[in-house]
Amino acid sequence: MIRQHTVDLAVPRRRATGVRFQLRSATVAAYALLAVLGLIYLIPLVFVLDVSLMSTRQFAINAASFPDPVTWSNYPTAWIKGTFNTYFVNSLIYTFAIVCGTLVISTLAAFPIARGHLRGTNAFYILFLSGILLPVGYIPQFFILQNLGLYNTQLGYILLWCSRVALPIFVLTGFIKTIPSELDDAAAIDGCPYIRYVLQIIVPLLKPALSVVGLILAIRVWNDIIGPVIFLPSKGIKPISAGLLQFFAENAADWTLIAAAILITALPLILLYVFAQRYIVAGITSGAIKG
Amino acid sequence: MGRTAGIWPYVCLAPALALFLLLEILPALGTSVFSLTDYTGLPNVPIHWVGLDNYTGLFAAQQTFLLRALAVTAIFSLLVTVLQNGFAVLIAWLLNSRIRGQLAVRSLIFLPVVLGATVNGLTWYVMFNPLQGPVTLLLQHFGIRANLLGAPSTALYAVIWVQIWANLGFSMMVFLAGMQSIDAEIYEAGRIDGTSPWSAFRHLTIPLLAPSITINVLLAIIGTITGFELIFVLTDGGPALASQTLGMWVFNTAFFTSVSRLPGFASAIAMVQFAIVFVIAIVMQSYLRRREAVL
Repeated sequence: MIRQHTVDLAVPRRRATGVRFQLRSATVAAYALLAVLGLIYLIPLVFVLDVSLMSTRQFAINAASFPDPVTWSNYPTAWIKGTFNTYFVNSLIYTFAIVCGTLVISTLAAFPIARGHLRGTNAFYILFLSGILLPVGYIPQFFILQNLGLYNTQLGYILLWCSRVALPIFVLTGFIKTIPSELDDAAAIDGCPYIRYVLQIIVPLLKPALSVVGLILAIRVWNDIIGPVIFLPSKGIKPISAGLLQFFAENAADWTLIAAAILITALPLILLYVFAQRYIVAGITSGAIKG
Repeated sequence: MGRTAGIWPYVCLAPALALFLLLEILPALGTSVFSLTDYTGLPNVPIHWVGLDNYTGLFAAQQTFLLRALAVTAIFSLLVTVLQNGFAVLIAWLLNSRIRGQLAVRSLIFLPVVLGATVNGLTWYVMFNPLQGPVTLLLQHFGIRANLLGAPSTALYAVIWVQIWANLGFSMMVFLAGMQSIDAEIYEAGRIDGTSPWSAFRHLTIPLLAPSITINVLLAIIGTITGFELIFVLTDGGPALASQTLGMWVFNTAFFTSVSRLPGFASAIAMVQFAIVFVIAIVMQSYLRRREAVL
């Protein structure tokens, strides 16, 4: 009955209401289902918020209650105890460096590919595309970074991320192809040097594509956990997700502090999601939808 | 411009190409090379060729562990793929309507996709915690005393639940995009013929969604066989290896076991994992594409 009704709603005009009672009960069922779904997603997050504002004592007595009194101090305590200052700054540095680095080298590579300025343009394009399908070789990556002296360094981690150019190049190449190449010819007459042309003329035109690719990349870097665990064992250079896990391991029984730490890590993401939801959803799913 | 640019297009290509070859392509191919060595991951220990020793070790001495990991991976992959996509398509159907509040619920379901494995994993760790976790309390209410993540019999299923919870939003959005691209006139035509809503869903929506189904199923299968972030955060493969998938096993063997890190041996497991993903992806792809054609 639920199913019947939901499809009815999906269709522009409703059938004459011969079966009013049936329709109404279906509506109720559809809303009930919607509410249950909402709760399944809301409860874990609200519970973490709830716990993060509780005293340790209250948590031990009855965690399924509203915080009384509201203990804001869990946040500064977790922040200081977990050196989240360091993790936060590290993550900002990694996110900024990786997003900028990846976007610059991907745009520079995507332009000659899109325009066919290379001997064997297609071969290069297919080579980059293969990166989307190939498995990640963590073990050889570890070996290479170790032998280059880049293991457990910020630079090593940044370079590792910047090497994942397959998807950015794929997206940007497609986008550059939509920019008319007459512009190139006009610039050639003026003798505009190649790299300057790409950075000064093409990059501004690519802004929409660059911001979506950058946004998605920033979220992925912020959330990366396997990368830091393998390549950044030193506490001082860990990004925030790895820092959160570290904090969790060090304070295993301190649930109120852990809850606060979870929300400290999640807050920038939640804010980003609130303000840029449409772009984030479109960006993350676009690969699959066009697929 | 292209003909006069000379060397410059190659200069532009160089940084991306160099990094990509060195840190993506070379490592992706290099796993097979390391699988033939006794690489330990320690900087000053010489690496020797050991031929197929890692593979014979995997299939003979470690056979029980291999079979165990294969079974866990199969359960994890199958349940997540089927349930995540099944729920996602039904929820997308429910939300692809003018029902009030659907936008808010849609946003909420997608939120974990943005929050990432560590936040999602630890959030549910708090929910499942054996002392005051709401899930634990709820089960106690029904007379069940359970430490879901801590017991070998339930850990895998708890992880599966969180995995589905975390990734449902992605599949749902892909289905929603697919449904919105279906022409409303098709349903009109169906209704004139007296088609019931359920059979419209079954015989119109589902077949027309076939491309979305193909991509979602493939991504879920590949993601569950290779990915292990949530498992790592929630259980690290435990307790007693109850939630150790192939991907988790590779990672633990290569990097995380404090006793003996064996990246060489782990490479052999990774090769087996890759072979499985490769075969399943090819088979599923052709099967789903053929179904698309039939439907």
